[in-house]
Amino acid sequence: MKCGMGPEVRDLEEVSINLDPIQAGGRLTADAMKAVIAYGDGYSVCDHCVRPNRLDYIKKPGIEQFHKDLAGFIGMDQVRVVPGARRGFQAVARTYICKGDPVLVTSLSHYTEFLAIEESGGIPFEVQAGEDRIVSADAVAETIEEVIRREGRNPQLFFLDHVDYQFGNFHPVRDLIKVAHTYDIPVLYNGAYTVGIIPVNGRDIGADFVVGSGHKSMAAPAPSGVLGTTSERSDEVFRTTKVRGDRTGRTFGIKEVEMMGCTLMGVTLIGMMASFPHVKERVRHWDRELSNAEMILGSLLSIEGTEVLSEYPRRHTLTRVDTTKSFDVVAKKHKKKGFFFTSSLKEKGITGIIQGATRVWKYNPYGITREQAQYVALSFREIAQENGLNTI
Amino acid sequence: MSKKAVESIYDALFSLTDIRVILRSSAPNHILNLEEKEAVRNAILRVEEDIRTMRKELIE
Repeated sequence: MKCGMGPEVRDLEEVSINLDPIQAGGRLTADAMKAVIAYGDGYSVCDHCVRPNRLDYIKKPGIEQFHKDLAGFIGMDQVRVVPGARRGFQAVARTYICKGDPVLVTSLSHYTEFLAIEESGGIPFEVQAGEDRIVSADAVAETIEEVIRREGRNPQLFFLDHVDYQFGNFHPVRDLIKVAHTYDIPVLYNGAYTVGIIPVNGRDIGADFVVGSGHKSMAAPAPSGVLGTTSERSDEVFRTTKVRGDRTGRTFGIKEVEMMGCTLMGVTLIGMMASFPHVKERVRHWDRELSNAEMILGSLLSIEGTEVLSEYPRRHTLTRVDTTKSFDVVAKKHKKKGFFFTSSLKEKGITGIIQGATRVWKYNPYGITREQAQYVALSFREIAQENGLNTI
Repeated sequence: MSKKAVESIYDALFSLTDIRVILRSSAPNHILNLEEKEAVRNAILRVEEDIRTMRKELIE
């Protein structure tokens, strides 16, 4: 079936349980789907844009209030919506990093943080995570000292992922931020896997900037996200234009340079707004999500040879496992080779795991129902048993 | 202008969206519990009413 004369309909979510690690928290709520239907046209939120002609001042629909509510939700003084978390990284990087500046990241940082540093001419220095795949305060202090020795100055900024994309591990952000602040290094808290999933309060954590992803964790269309900051930093990262046309003398009001004026002007913002009441509610039920994740991982670990590479017990639903000694053993003899596993899952209506993966792979059961979690748990064991693997 | 027809379009699309969400939460087998069946039944009734309104407003 096609969308008229356009692309094929995407019915993946209607016909299967999708465990894709990056897609789970971005699935739209019913209200977001309805808002998308009503606001699909380009500049659809701009019908009532009046002076001072900036997105975050629009009262109808209630975008101005949404910004205030969103700031409260993440515990920051000011927020702007941005086209994805990466554009939040970019705005902060362009504000604080100059050519040759050292910048801290970690060995588990997302690639877009590196790109934001690269674009600004900075030099990334990675804090190495420990053998437990957790970044420690000692490692941050040691890396800062090393940078000072090598570069003769402090790092200008620290990009810190609360939950990393590789293992879904929680890092002790409060402690890490305290260390950075003793060296006067501002910290960008990357909440791509937390904001919209668990309660996050940037002020409590001590973050200078909080970045969240709408399409990864706030049940919003892509590309969407949020950048929040403190009142001390907001005039810097949200600085307004000062430029003037040399022939026309034109100036551009209170448009913000790093936001390129206005940011999300249609379905992305309206979808984010429509999901927001549900997102505020769902962060209070993280225990339910963890319980589902625990059941599925328990099932996987009951298959002899399967190991969990993420911290354990799990504190996040995004999980990385190693099935080299279980499903990969089957793959070596199976006629479909490594594709037997994802093919078997597909037959059972389960998708989202990288095709052909039988060694190290990730999944994220966030947002599925208890019944679906039970079905997934049972399916993993059935596939193992059907292929001669021992289950405990 | 037929305000009723316009409202019916959105109402029908929203009701169908409610069914879509139930398809998602019951995937892949779509075995609905009593509450879900009731929700689908009500959504279908709303869509049927919306179609009647559109027929009356735009065709008859």
